[in-house]
Amino acid sequence: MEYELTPKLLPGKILEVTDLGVKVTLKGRMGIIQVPLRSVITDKALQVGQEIRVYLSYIEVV
Amino acid sequence: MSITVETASQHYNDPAVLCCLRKKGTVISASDLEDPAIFPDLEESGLLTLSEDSLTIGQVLGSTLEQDADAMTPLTPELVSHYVEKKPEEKEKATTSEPAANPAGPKNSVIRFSINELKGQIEIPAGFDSAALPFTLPEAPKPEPEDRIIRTLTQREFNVQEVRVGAETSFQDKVLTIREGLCAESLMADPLVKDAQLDIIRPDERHVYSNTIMDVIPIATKVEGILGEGTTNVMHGVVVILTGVDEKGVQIHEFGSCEGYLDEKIRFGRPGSPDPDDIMIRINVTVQENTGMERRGPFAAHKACDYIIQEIREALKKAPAEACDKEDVYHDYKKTGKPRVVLVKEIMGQGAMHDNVLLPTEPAGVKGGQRNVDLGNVPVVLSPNEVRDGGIHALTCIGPATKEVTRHYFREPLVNLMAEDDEINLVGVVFIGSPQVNDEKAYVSARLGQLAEALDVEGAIVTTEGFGNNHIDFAENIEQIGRRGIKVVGASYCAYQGQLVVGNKYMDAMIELNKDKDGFENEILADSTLCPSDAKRALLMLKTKMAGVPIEPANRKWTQEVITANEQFIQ
Repeated sequence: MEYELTPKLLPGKILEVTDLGVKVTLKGRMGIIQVPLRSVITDKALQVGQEIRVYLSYIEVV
Repeated sequence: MSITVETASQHYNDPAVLCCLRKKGTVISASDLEDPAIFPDLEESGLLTLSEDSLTIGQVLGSTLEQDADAMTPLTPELVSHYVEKKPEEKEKATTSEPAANPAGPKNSVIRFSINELKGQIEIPAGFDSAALPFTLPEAPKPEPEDRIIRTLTQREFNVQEVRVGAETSFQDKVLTIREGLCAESLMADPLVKDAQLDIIRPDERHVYSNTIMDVIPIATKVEGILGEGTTNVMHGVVVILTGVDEKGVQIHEFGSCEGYLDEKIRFGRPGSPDPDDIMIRINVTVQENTGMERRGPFAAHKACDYIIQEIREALKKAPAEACDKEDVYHDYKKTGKPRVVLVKEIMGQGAMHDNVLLPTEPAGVKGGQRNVDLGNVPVVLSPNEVRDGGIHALTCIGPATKEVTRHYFREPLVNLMAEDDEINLVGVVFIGSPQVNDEKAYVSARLGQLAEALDVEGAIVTTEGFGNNHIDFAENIEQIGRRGIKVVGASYCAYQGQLVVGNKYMDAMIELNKDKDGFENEILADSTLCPSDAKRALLMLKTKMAGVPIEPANRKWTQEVITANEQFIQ
């Protein structure tokens, strides 16, 4: 099936910060993502509750 | 990129723009022209500037280019020759022509009219000898057959002014009392239920913190007949909200969590949510740890909640008919001579809370029903009265703003509107699940198409709650119906966050359900669900499409302006 997967700028919030990475929740109950610290770009020290945004689309199983 | 002859014919009145460099002397055909669908993109990026004297595609096909021209050049009268001049708009044709000249004079006794088009009726005085006419008179039209009532549902509404907790469950003098020990007893409904608490939230005390809202459930019970017919007693002014966590304190049901203050988390007054003056009976269920995201966990919470509501229903059954505050009578009709249409409601079927109980024994109940996931998500037909009598108990998916809760189906605006409309014959409401895997999606969608064909409908409205991979079935459902020559309209939340990921040529009449100003799933319960104004737009869109009126192509991006403009038509 052919999809048109367009990344959309989705806001979210940081749920957890560890020495390894952060866990963020996406607005609209669209999921929780955990990524290593090097995947996060920031001017401020990371804290729980900070607002984030990320371009995201759907996950397609190949 | 050049376009096909078919695309050119669809854009006859759109500006003609060269897709590539073309030499002087080229006879313009579709393959020399750019697709008008991408003009907004091209204009936005500055690659294209359209002028007022641009010719249309219909005008330039077959014309000759008079000088070399680059790609993205709009064709104007200076650039091409032998193009078609714009015709002035044709005036409306006269319905009858002048009487033809009669060379034989009046003595011939025949007056001959040449008639191009005839509208209205001609009246001939009584006593006129019709045998003298050179044609036979048509028979008088038969009286239109009357709509036949198949089944009748009476809903008696009982106002509830106060809810309290007491020694015994009772309903008297508009006061509902709920037995204190009922919650503890409800744990028997399922071993996964570890705790259940109940509290009463009055309309002026809504700034209360709450766990994730799993469902909003009306209190209604059968007093005569089965679901969809007979008599149902309904409590008015009170509604149950089900909330829940697991033993570890993890919110059930939502991805992430939906907890928060009730006055901030609910869009009051939507078909599915509590009304502004409703008293809320909050039932908070705790399920066994780590079962909140499994199918059995949330269902256990619904079972416990239903156990509590059932005792209230038993008290409501005893309410004397004469004490009711309002009585609504609904009919399922067999309408002859009106276009047959069907309403298709796509419901979630991916598993766990992405599931629904179909046709429980009690209105909006759990017991006695079958879950659509267990039924393989195949289409199941309900009569409009079965839906209005609480034929669907939603286990409700994500997210809060776009999910359809149990109360939504109980007061479904499209069902009510289509069932009561005099111009159409709503033959049924089809519930079709949305499975996880694409193969299964294609399987159930194909069954839907075959069902629509068997129902011999002329029109259909397809709706879906939520957004995400269910939009793949949504598109497939519309295609399966549309390819059979049935006119179809789609209704869903899409806006910014839920943009469609697939599409087809039958998806040309779509109703956007978004109510968030930025186009997001804003996490306010029932905010972007189908409302009465959306239902009116959808039905008008269907009637328009069935009448053969062309529908303007959609904008490239979601914009509220289109919705606002379309809402003017339904005023």
